[in-house]
Amino acid sequence: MPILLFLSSFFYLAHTFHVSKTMVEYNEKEKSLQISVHLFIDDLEESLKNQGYTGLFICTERESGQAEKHIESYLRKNLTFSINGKLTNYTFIGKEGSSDMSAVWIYLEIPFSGKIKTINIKNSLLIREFDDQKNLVHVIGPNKKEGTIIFANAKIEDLLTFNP
Amino acid sequence: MNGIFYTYLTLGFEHIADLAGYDHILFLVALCAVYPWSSWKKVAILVTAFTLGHSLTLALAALNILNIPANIIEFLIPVTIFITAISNTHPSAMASSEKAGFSRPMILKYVIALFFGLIHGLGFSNFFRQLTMPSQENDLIPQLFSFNVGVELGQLIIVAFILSFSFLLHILFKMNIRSWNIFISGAAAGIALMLMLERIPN
Repeated sequence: MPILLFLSSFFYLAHTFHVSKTMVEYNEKEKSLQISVHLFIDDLEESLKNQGYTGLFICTERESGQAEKHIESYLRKNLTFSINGKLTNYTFIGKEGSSDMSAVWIYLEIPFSGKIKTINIKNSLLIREFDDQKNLVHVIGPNKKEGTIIFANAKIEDLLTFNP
Repeated sequence: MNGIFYTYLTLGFEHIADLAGYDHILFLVALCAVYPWSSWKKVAILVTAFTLGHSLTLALAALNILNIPANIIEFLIPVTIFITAISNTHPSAMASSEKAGFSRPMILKYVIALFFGLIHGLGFSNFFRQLTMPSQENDLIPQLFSFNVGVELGQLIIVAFILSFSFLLHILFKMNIRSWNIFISGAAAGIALMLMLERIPN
Protein backbone atom coordinates (compact mmCIF):
# COMPACT_ATOMS: atom_id res chain seq x y z
CA MET A 1 0.00 0.00 0.00
CA PRO A 2 2.69 2.59 0.82
CA ILE A 3 4.24 1.79 -2.55
CA LEU A 4 0.95 2.40 -4.28
CA LEU A 5 0.57 5.67 -2.44
CA PHE A 6 4.04 6.67 -3.43
CA LEU A 7 3.37 5.77 -7.05
CA SER A 8 0.14 7.71 -7.16
CA SER A 9 1.82 10.80 -5.72
CA PHE A 10 4.58 10.36 -8.28
CA PHE A 11 2.06 10.28 -11.10
CA TYR A 12 0.19 13.19 -9.64
CA LEU A 13 3.41 15.20 -9.62
CA ALA A 14 3.85 14.79 -13.35
CA HIS A 15 3.16 18.24 -14.58
CA THR A 16 2.03 20.29 -11.71
CA PHE A 17 4.40 23.18 -11.30
CA HIS A 18 4.85 25.91 -8.75
CA VAL A 19 5.78 29.38 -9.88
CA SER A 20 5.26 32.87 -8.53
CA LYS A 21 6.22 36.11 -10.19
CA THR A 22 6.97 39.53 -8.82
CA MET A 23 7.46 42.83 -10.60
CA VAL A 24 9.55 45.45 -8.84
CA GLU A 25 9.67 48.81 -10.57
CA TYR A 26 11.24 52.02 -9.38
CA ASN A 27 9.02 54.96 -10.18
CA GLU A 28 11.31 57.95 -10.60
CA LYS A 29 8.50 60.53 -10.46
CA GLU A 30 6.78 59.24 -7.36
CA LYS A 31 10.07 58.22 -5.74
CA SER A 32 8.82 54.79 -4.82
CA LEU A 33 9.36 51.12 -5.50
CA GLN A 34 6.13 49.64 -6.82
CA ILE A 35 5.77 45.93 -6.33
CA SER A 36 3.23 43.44 -7.69
CA VAL A 37 3.27 39.82 -6.57
CA HIS A 38 1.46 37.05 -8.45
CA LEU A 39 0.71 33.92 -6.40
CA PHE A 40 -1.46 30.91 -7.21
CA ILE A 41 -4.42 30.97 -4.84
CA ASP A 42 -4.42 27.20 -4.22
CA ASP A 43 -0.72 27.24 -3.34
CA LEU A 44 -1.11 30.26 -1.07
CA GLU A 45 -4.14 28.75 0.69
CA GLU A 46 -2.27 25.48 1.15
CA SER A 47 0.58 27.29 2.80
CA LEU A 48 -1.69 29.34 5.06
CA LYS A 49 -3.54 26.13 5.93
CA ASN A 50 -0.24 24.70 7.19
CA GLN A 51 -0.18 27.58 9.67
CA GLY A 52 -3.69 26.73 10.80
CA TYR A 53 -5.61 29.31 8.77
CA THR A 54 -8.37 27.51 6.90
CA GLY A 55 -11.53 28.54 5.09
CA LEU A 56 -10.09 31.75 3.66
CA PHE A 57 -11.65 31.45 0.16
CA ILE A 58 -9.25 34.07 -1.20
CA CYS A 59 -10.68 36.26 -3.97
CA THR A 60 -14.13 34.73 -3.86
CA GLU A 61 -17.44 36.13 -2.63
CA ARG A 62 -17.02 34.04 0.49
CA GLU A 63 -13.59 35.48 1.33
CA SER A 64 -12.95 35.50 5.05
CA GLY A 65 -12.49 38.85 6.77
CA GLN A 66 -9.18 37.52 8.09
CA ALA A 67 -7.79 36.53 4.67
CA GLU A 68 -6.06 39.78 3.82
CA LYS A 69 -4.43 40.03 7.23
CA HIS A 70 -2.98 36.52 6.93
CA ILE A 71 -1.77 37.13 3.38
CA GLU A 72 -0.07 40.33 4.46
CA SER A 73 1.70 38.72 7.39
CA TYR A 74 2.75 35.77 5.20
CA LEU A 75 4.23 38.21 2.70
CA ARG A 76 6.07 40.23 5.33
CA LYS A 77 7.67 37.00 6.55
CA ASN A 78 8.63 35.65 3.15
CA LEU A 79 9.33 38.63 0.94
CA THR A 80 11.58 41.39 2.22
CA PHE A 81 13.49 44.26 0.70
CA SER A 82 16.51 46.00 2.19
CA ILE A 83 17.47 49.24 0.52
CA ASN A 84 21.07 50.42 0.96
CA GLY A 85 21.55 47.73 3.59
CA LYS A 86 18.53 48.63 5.72
CA LEU A 87 15.41 46.48 5.99
CA THR A 88 12.59 48.57 4.53
CA ASN A 89 8.91 48.03 5.32
CA TYR A 90 6.40 48.18 2.54
CA THR A 91 2.84 49.44 2.47
CA PHE A 92 0.26 46.81 1.64
CA ILE A 93 -1.84 48.54 -1.02
CA GLY A 94 -4.29 45.75 -1.84
CA LYS A 95 -4.96 42.71 -3.93
CA GLU A 96 -7.10 41.46 -6.80
CA GLY A 97 -7.81 38.14 -8.51
CA SER A 98 -6.04 37.38 -11.79
CA SER A 99 -8.16 37.32 -14.94
CA ASP A 100 -8.77 33.56 -14.72
CA MET A 101 -9.13 33.71 -10.91
CA SER A 102 -6.47 31.04 -10.41
CA ALA A 103 -4.07 33.53 -8.88
CA VAL A 104 -3.98 36.70 -6.84
CA TRP A 105 -2.08 39.91 -7.61
CA ILE A 106 -0.86 41.64 -4.47
CA TYR A 107 0.28 45.26 -4.64
CA LEU A 108 2.94 46.73 -2.36
CA GLU A 109 4.81 50.00 -2.27
CA ILE A 110 8.00 51.34 -0.70
CA PRO A 111 8.31 55.13 -0.80
CA PHE A 112 12.01 55.98 -0.97
CA SER A 113 13.25 59.45 -1.77
CA GLY A 114 17.00 58.90 -1.35
CA LYS A 115 19.45 57.47 -3.82
CA ILE A 116 19.14 53.70 -4.18
CA LYS A 117 22.55 52.05 -4.30
CA THR A 118 21.61 48.50 -3.40
CA ILE A 119 18.46 46.43 -2.98
CA ASN A 120 18.69 43.14 -1.15
CA ILE A 121 15.74 40.87 -1.88
CA LYS A 122 14.82 37.86 0.21
CA ASN A 123 12.13 35.73 -1.38
CA SER A 124 11.09 32.45 0.22
CA LEU A 125 7.47 32.53 -0.94
CA LEU A 126 6.02 28.98 -0.90
CA ILE A 127 9.51 27.50 -0.97
CA ARG A 128 9.04 25.52 2.23
CA GLU A 129 5.76 24.13 0.97
CA PHE A 130 6.81 23.05 -2.52
CA ASP A 131 10.19 21.51 -3.43
CA ASP A 132 9.95 22.73 -7.00
CA GLN A 133 8.78 26.26 -6.19
CA LYS A 134 10.38 28.93 -8.37
CA ASN A 135 9.93 32.63 -7.71
CA LEU A 136 10.68 34.94 -10.60
CA VAL A 137 11.41 38.53 -9.73
CA HIS A 138 11.70 41.07 -12.51
CA VAL A 139 13.31 44.34 -11.49
CA ILE A 140 13.32 47.67 -13.27
CA GLY A 141 15.55 49.68 -10.97
CA PRO A 142 16.83 53.25 -10.89
CA ASN A 143 18.33 54.31 -14.25
CA LYS A 144 16.05 51.70 -15.87
CA LYS A 145 18.52 48.97 -15.03
CA GLU A 146 16.52 45.83 -15.70
CA GLY A 147 16.82 42.10 -15.14
CA THR A 148 15.29 38.96 -13.72
CA ILE A 149 16.20 36.77 -10.74
CA ILE A 150 15.02 33.21 -10.22
CA PHE A 151 14.61 32.41 -6.53
CA ALA A 152 14.31 28.74 -5.55
CA ASN A 153 15.15 26.35 -2.76
CA ALA A 154 18.89 26.82 -3.32
CA LYS A 155 18.68 30.60 -3.51
CA ILE A 156 16.33 32.78 -1.50
CA GLU A 157 18.39 35.97 -1.35
CA ASP A 158 20.03 38.27 -3.88
CA LEU A 159 21.82 41.60 -3.68
CA LEU A 160 21.34 44.05 -6.55
CA THR A 161 23.66 46.98 -7.02
CA PHE A 162 22.75 50.12 -8.90
CA ASN A 163 25.47 52.45 -10.07
CA PRO A 164 24.77 56.17 -9.86
CA MET B 1 20.01 39.92 -12.11
CA ASN B 2 20.11 38.33 -15.52
CA GLY B 3 18.83 39.27 -18.94
CA ILE B 4 16.01 37.61 -20.83
CA PHE B 5 18.20 35.12 -22.68
CA TYR B 6 19.89 33.60 -19.65
CA THR B 7 16.73 33.67 -17.51
CA TYR B 8 14.47 31.92 -20.00
CA LEU B 9 17.19 29.53 -21.14
CA THR B 10 17.56 28.42 -17.52
CA LEU B 11 13.79 28.08 -17.11
CA GLY B 12 13.50 26.00 -20.31
CA PHE B 13 16.43 23.79 -19.38
CA GLU B 14 15.20 23.18 -15.85
CA HIS B 15 11.66 22.56 -17.04
CA ILE B 16 12.67 19.69 -19.34
CA ALA B 17 15.31 18.26 -17.01
CA ASP B 18 12.96 18.33 -14.00
CA LEU B 19 12.19 14.74 -12.98
CA ALA B 20 8.83 15.83 -11.59
CA GLY B 21 7.66 16.58 -15.14
CA TYR B 22 9.07 13.33 -16.45
CA ASP B 23 6.56 12.77 -19.25
CA HIS B 24 8.66 14.68 -21.79
CA ILE B 25 11.74 12.73 -20.69
CA LEU B 26 9.79 9.50 -21.16
CA PHE B 27 8.94 10.54 -24.70
CA LEU B 28 12.64 11.09 -25.43
CA VAL B 29 13.39 7.65 -23.98
CA ALA B 30 10.85 6.04 -26.33
CA LEU B 31 12.03 8.18 -29.23
CA CYS B 32 15.65 7.02 -29.07
CA ALA B 33 15.22 3.45 -27.74
CA VAL B 34 16.04 1.80 -31.09
CA TYR B 35 19.29 3.70 -31.63
CA PRO B 36 22.75 2.63 -30.53
CA TRP B 37 25.32 5.25 -29.58
CA SER B 38 26.72 5.15 -33.14
CA SER B 39 23.42 6.58 -34.47
CA TRP B 40 23.72 9.74 -32.38
CA LYS B 41 23.35 11.98 -35.43
CA LYS B 42 19.90 10.58 -36.21
CA VAL B 43 18.91 11.00 -32.58
CA ALA B 44 20.08 14.62 -32.63
CA ILE B 45 17.97 15.28 -35.74
CA LEU B 46 14.96 13.52 -34.18
CA VAL B 47 15.26 15.61 -31.02
CA THR B 48 15.58 18.80 -33.05
CA ALA B 49 12.51 17.86 -35.13
CA PHE B 50 10.63 17.36 -31.86
CA THR B 51 11.83 20.81 -30.71
CA LEU B 52 10.67 22.45 -33.96
CA GLY B 53 7.25 20.94 -33.38
CA HIS B 54 6.89 22.03 -29.77
CA SER B 55 8.40 25.48 -30.42
CA LEU B 56 5.69 26.15 -32.99
CA THR B 57 2.71 25.30 -30.80
CA LEU B 58 4.30 26.85 -27.72
CA ALA B 59 4.61 30.13 -29.63
CA LEU B 60 1.03 29.92 -30.95
CA ALA B 61 -0.31 29.22 -27.46
CA ALA B 62 1.83 31.91 -25.80
CA LEU B 63 0.64 34.47 -28.35
CA ASN B 64 -2.95 33.37 -27.64
CA ILE B 65 -3.51 32.22 -31.21
CA LEU B 66 -4.13 28.66 -30.10
CA ASN B 67 -5.99 27.70 -26.96
CA ILE B 68 -6.64 24.03 -26.19
CA PRO B 69 -7.81 22.87 -22.75
CA ALA B 70 -4.94 21.64 -20.59
CA ASN B 71 -6.68 18.39 -19.59
CA ILE B 72 -6.89 17.25 -23.23
CA ILE B 73 -3.20 18.02 -23.82
CA GLU B 74 -2.17 16.31 -20.57
CA PHE B 75 -4.00 13.21 -21.80
CA LEU B 76 -2.54 13.33 -25.31
CA ILE B 77 1.08 13.61 -24.10
CA PRO B 78 1.21 10.02 -22.71
CA VAL B 79 -0.65 8.91 -25.87
CA THR B 80 2.33 10.15 -27.94
CA ILE B 81 4.69 8.22 -25.64
CA PHE B 82 2.56 5.07 -25.86
CA ILE B 83 2.36 5.15 -29.67
CA THR B 84 6.10 5.81 -30.01
CA ALA B 85 6.96 2.97 -27.61
CA ILE B 86 4.59 0.45 -29.24
CA SER B 87 5.81 1.34 -32.74
CA ASN B 88 9.36 0.49 -31.60
CA THR B 89 8.33 -3.18 -31.50
CA HIS B 90 7.45 -3.23 -35.22
CA PRO B 91 10.14 -5.06 -37.25
CA SER B 92 10.67 -1.98 -39.43
CA ALA B 93 11.55 0.16 -36.38
CA MET B 94 14.90 -1.53 -35.79
CA ALA B 95 15.53 -1.81 -39.53
CA SER B 96 15.07 1.93 -40.03
CA SER B 97 17.79 2.63 -37.48
CA GLU B 98 20.25 0.95 -39.83
CA LYS B 99 19.17 3.06 -42.82
CA ALA B 100 20.88 6.27 -43.90
CA GLY B 101 20.13 9.47 -41.98
CA PHE B 102 17.90 10.89 -44.71
CA SER B 103 16.40 7.70 -46.10
CA ARG B 104 12.64 7.63 -46.53
CA PRO B 105 11.83 5.71 -43.29
CA MET B 106 14.03 8.07 -41.26
CA ILE B 107 12.41 11.17 -42.77
CA LEU B 108 9.04 9.71 -41.82
CA LYS B 109 10.31 9.35 -38.25
CA TYR B 110 11.48 12.98 -38.13
CA VAL B 111 8.05 14.07 -39.33
CA ILE B 112 6.34 12.00 -36.63
CA ALA B 113 8.67 13.43 -33.95
CA LEU B 114 7.79 16.92 -35.19
CA PHE B 115 4.09 16.12 -35.18
CA PHE B 116 4.19 14.74 -31.62
CA GLY B 117 6.23 17.81 -30.68
CA LEU B 118 3.17 19.90 -31.58
CA ILE B 119 1.30 18.22 -28.71
CA HIS B 120 4.12 18.55 -26.17
CA GLY B 121 4.50 22.27 -27.02
CA LEU B 122 0.92 22.87 -25.89
CA GLY B 123 1.88 21.15 -22.64
CA PHE B 124 4.84 23.51 -22.18
CA SER B 125 2.59 26.49 -22.79
CA ASN B 126 0.69 26.01 -19.51
CA PHE B 127 3.99 26.46 -17.72
CA PHE B 128 5.37 29.16 -19.99
CA ARG B 129 2.29 31.37 -19.62
CA GLN B 130 3.02 31.61 -15.90
CA LEU B 131 6.51 32.94 -16.54
CA THR B 132 5.69 36.06 -18.50
CA MET B 133 5.62 39.38 -16.72
CA PRO B 134 2.94 41.97 -17.49
CA SER B 135 5.60 44.55 -18.38
CA GLN B 136 7.35 42.20 -20.78
CA GLU B 137 4.53 41.40 -23.15
CA ASN B 138 6.54 42.88 -26.01
CA ASP B 139 9.46 40.58 -25.27
CA LEU B 140 7.58 37.34 -25.87
CA ILE B 141 9.58 36.36 -28.95
CA PRO B 142 13.02 36.57 -27.27
CA GLN B 143 11.57 34.82 -24.22
CA LEU B 144 10.16 32.00 -26.35
CA PHE B 145 13.38 31.68 -28.29
CA SER B 146 15.55 31.43 -25.17
CA PHE B 147 13.12 29.04 -23.49
CA ASN B 148 13.24 26.75 -26.55
CA VAL B 149 17.03 26.86 -26.68
CA GLY B 150 17.05 25.81 -23.02
CA VAL B 151 14.62 22.97 -23.68
CA GLU B 152 16.64 21.78 -26.70
CA LEU B 153 19.88 21.81 -24.67
CA GLY B 154 18.18 19.86 -21.89
CA GLN B 155 16.83 17.33 -24.37
CA LEU B 156 20.23 16.80 -26.00
CA ILE B 157 21.77 16.16 -22.60
CA ILE B 158 18.98 13.71 -21.68
CA VAL B 159 19.35 11.68 -24.90
CA ALA B 160 23.15 11.73 -24.59
CA PHE B 161 22.67 10.27 -21.13
CA ILE B 162 20.27 7.56 -22.40
CA LEU B 163 22.55 6.58 -25.31
CA SER B 164 25.60 6.48 -23.02
CA PHE B 165 23.73 4.30 -20.57
CA SER B 166 22.75 1.73 -23.23
CA PHE B 167 26.31 1.86 -24.59
CA LEU B 168 27.63 1.12 -21.12
CA LEU B 169 25.28 -1.86 -20.79
CA HIS B 170 26.50 -3.04 -24.16
CA ILE B 171 30.15 -2.89 -23.06
CA LEU B 172 29.61 -4.36 -19.59
CA PHE B 173 26.94 -7.00 -20.19
CA LYS B 174 27.06 -7.49 -23.95
CA MET B 175 23.50 -6.22 -24.05
CA ASN B 176 22.23 -5.94 -27.59
CA ILE B 177 20.24 -2.98 -28.75
CA ARG B 178 17.22 -5.13 -29.77
CA SER B 179 16.74 -6.40 -26.22
CA TRP B 180 17.36 -2.91 -24.87
CA ASN B 181 14.71 -1.50 -27.19
CA ILE B 182 12.07 -4.05 -26.15
CA PHE B 183 12.96 -3.59 -22.48
CA ILE B 184 12.92 0.19 -22.41
CA SER B 185 9.98 0.60 -24.83
CA GLY B 186 7.96 -1.78 -22.68
CA ALA B 187 8.73 0.25 -19.58
CA ALA B 188 7.84 3.50 -21.35
CA ALA B 189 4.57 2.06 -22.73
CA GLY B 190 3.60 0.81 -19.26
CA ILE B 191 4.16 4.16 -17.57
CA ALA B 192 2.46 5.99 -20.46
CA LEU B 193 -0.57 3.73 -20.10
CA MET B 194 -0.80 4.54 -16.39
CA LEU B 195 -0.57 8.25 -17.13
CA MET B 196 -3.27 7.99 -19.81
CA LEU B 197 -5.63 6.24 -17.39
CA GLU B 198 -4.93 8.92 -14.76
CA ARG B 199 -5.60 11.73 -17.18
CA ILE B 200 -8.70 10.62 -19.05
CA PRO B 201 -10.47 13.94 -19.63
CA ASN B 202 -13.86 14.23 -17.94
